[in-house]
Amino acid sequence: MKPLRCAVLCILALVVSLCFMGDSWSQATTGENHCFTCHTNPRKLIQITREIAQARKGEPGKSAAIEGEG
Amino acid sequence: MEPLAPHEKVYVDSEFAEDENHGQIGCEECHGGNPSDPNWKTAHKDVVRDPSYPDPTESCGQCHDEIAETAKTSLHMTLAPYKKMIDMRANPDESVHAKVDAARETHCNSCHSSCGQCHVSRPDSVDGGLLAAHLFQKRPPVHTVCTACHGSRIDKEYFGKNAGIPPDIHKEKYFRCDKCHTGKEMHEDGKDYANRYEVENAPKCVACHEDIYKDTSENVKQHTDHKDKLSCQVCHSMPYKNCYACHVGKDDQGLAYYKTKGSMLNFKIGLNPLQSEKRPEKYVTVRHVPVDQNTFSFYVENGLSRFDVLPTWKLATPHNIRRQTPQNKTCNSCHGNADLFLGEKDVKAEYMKANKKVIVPSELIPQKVKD
Repeated sequence: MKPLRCAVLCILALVVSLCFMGDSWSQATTGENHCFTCHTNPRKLIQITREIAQARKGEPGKSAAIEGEG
Repeated sequence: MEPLAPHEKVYVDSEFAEDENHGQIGCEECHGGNPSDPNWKTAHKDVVRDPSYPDPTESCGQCHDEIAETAKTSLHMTLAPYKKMIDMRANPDESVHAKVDAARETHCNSCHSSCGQCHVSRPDSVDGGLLAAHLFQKRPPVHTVCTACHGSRIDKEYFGKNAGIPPDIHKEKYFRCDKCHTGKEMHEDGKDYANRYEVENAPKCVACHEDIYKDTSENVKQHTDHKDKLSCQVCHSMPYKNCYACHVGKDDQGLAYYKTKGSMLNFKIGLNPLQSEKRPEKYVTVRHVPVDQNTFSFYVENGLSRFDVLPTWKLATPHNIRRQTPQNKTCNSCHGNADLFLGEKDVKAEYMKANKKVIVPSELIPQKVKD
């Protein structure tokens, strides 16, 4: 009887974990990935990068003292 | 190299999702951040721009475990020889040495690369930006990756941009960098190499030109006579760039800068400073590197107090190979031609001691022969 009980328990555990996995899988597929939607949208990126540039206005970039070849 | 607009630097091609390998990994698994947050400012909290630097084992290494394990100690990633060379020259006083070390980290080590900065984006040292909208590039592109960093010397030599000097013959055969510099060389094998010339799987001319010592070869006599005495470049490279006197510091706004003196095109044969079983040649092409006794003077005086332990003319493998060159036209184009050889006349008085090992004394200049 013991092997049979063990097998039943294993199957039960597998079914439960599959249910949970399925739940999180469906969450992942239905939830919007904002990284992807934003980074594949040039219009949005232009708008945000302009916003960033505006905020950084006046911040120095590379040193003007650089001379010669690197 | 065309600069990228700010939005182009971070634009991702939606086709990336079709990449059956990388496209199946969630953005946050490599880069962190919060993909479910619609506010870009908070979503980017703790985002890692380049998850492959300095340790790619947790990102790339999840699948490319063997490559990531060795690549993390590769010279492109660590620039370890810089530290080794500078440490050898540095003042042994601990407080002085620490200042030199900090300056090296700020200036010399800013040009490293990484898995991502070859296969996904342009290197940070040239302002970064995704190469092909985040589509992974198995073969790093030449202009936006390799010569984006190796621009002053290799780019100009290989593509014939130095006035009056033709491009490398391999360029004319449409060779990309990775034809010779394979992934195996770039990713290395985890060994702690003293310099790039020691790296296993580095290019070997004879790997392709295997017939040059065969009786049927057109120039078998020349090749056999000079075998293991001269590096291939001694006969086959054109004049190349030499750089001088790099000084580093920070400007009024605290921004790092470097200043180098004008570079000079020249061709010099010196004594091989790295003679070994692997590189047995006595004569090699040597290039002046921009190091100077006062390179770090902005940070500390006498930082390189042991400057003379290494030459300023280093073993070089110029990238402007031609079958026929001014020095191989006839035997006596080279034999007896003292101008081609690095002599005391070519070395500044204060660097004579440092270069003693590479300077060719007149008695070692090959005698003229009967043509």
